[in-house]
Amino acid sequence: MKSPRGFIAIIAALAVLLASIAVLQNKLTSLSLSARVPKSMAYLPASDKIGPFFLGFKTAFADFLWIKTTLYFGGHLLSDKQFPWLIGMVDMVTRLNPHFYPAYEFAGLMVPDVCKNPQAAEIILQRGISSDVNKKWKLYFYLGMLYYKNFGDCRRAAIAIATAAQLPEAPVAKLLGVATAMMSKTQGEKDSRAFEYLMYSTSENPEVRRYLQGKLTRP
Amino acid sequence: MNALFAVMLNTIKETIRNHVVYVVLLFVVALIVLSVSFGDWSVFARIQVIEDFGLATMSISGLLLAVFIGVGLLGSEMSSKTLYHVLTRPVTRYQFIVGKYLGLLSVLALNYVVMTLFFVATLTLLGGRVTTALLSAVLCIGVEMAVIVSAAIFFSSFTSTVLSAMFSVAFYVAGHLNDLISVQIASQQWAMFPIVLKTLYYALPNLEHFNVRDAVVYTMALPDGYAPLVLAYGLAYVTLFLVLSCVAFNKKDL
Repeated sequence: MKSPRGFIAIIAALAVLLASIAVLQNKLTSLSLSARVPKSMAYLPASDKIGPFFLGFKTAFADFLWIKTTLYFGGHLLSDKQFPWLIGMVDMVTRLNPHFYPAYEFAGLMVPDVCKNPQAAEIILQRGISSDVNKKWKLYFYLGMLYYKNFGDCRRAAIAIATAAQLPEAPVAKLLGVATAMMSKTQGEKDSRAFEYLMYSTSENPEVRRYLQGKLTRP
Repeated sequence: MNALFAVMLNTIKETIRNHVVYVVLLFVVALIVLSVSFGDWSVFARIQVIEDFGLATMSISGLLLAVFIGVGLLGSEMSSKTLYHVLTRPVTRYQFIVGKYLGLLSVLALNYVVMTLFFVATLTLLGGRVTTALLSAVLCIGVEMAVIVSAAIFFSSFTSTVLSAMFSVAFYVAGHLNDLISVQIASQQWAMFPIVLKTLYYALPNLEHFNVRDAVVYTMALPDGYAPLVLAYGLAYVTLFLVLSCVAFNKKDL
């Protein structure tokens, strides 16, 4: 390398390597998986800003936080029934891992009821809808339920539930029946019970099911 | 070529005697076992949590091994003066660096294969499925480990062991935070500094490109041709760091 020819060879090799790295980096960025996730509606700062701080372990952190969330919920449900941190925790889980369906379901079913904050639930559910999540029809269904029960907005509820009916794996007849009924009825106790039963039967979360079962068996 | 092979074999023997390799392996196995409990606590989505934790653990182990073994590889040769014996033989400095890298990488690859087998066995026993995508994620983590080891060797070729360790960790952190710069460029919120941001983005490696864990665990399709591009990207960085290591080590006054 002490000869000028060796020096030029090294410089040329480095130039070629750096150019190929720049080209590959550009190509990989355009294919980047995170870039394909649509921007979420920010309840707090968006997930694309906080995510990189976890150095590639954000889904592992999200899993850990989800475990903490379920323990927190269970602990307080058995004691003081106060959940001041629940929305923040669920929100953080969905920001760290926008594909984590269980957190959205939890937000859709529990946050409006136990935290009395339907606005937060709506934002988290809409984030789930804009992300690449499995069982998306359920998120539209929960959003519809939220509009119906908590906002008293039958029209938006019917639209959300009708959208749910059009998505893969959705029980089309059931949902369309509900959407039609919503369009023609106003909110009443009987309808509310029927919806709670529908939520109970669609949920996969044993905690949510136990909670709703308790509400449904109450006279 | 014989000299390079001899250095490589010697490094393999030397690294196998290093207890750190076994400690890290034990740490990874313990964490994978713990991930089973985490999976149980998560109420549902158990397999996803186990996959997430398993892959994250394997990724962390790459950093630990690179820092604990990679950075000390050249330093220990110099402090024990064995380097002088080696270089008086018909071994060039380039062969020494590349041989050291290949030797260390061989042991780490073997270690990584053991971790992968353990991870796959755990997952299979608990009812998870081992897919091609999951193995792609494992491969990407392996390539990332190869890049970090090459960076660690590069840093140790011109500075002390402690500083090399610090630089290697900083390299890992900066490489993963680089994605934040790409997000800022894409969202154009810092419109005044696009050139500065782009320069910074290309000056640092983007280690997030090796991270396909989210996509694999949540069964999202990888873009076409993603895995070969990641392999080429990793290979380009390894070659760059090895060339730079050779240049730096060649200039060193021994």
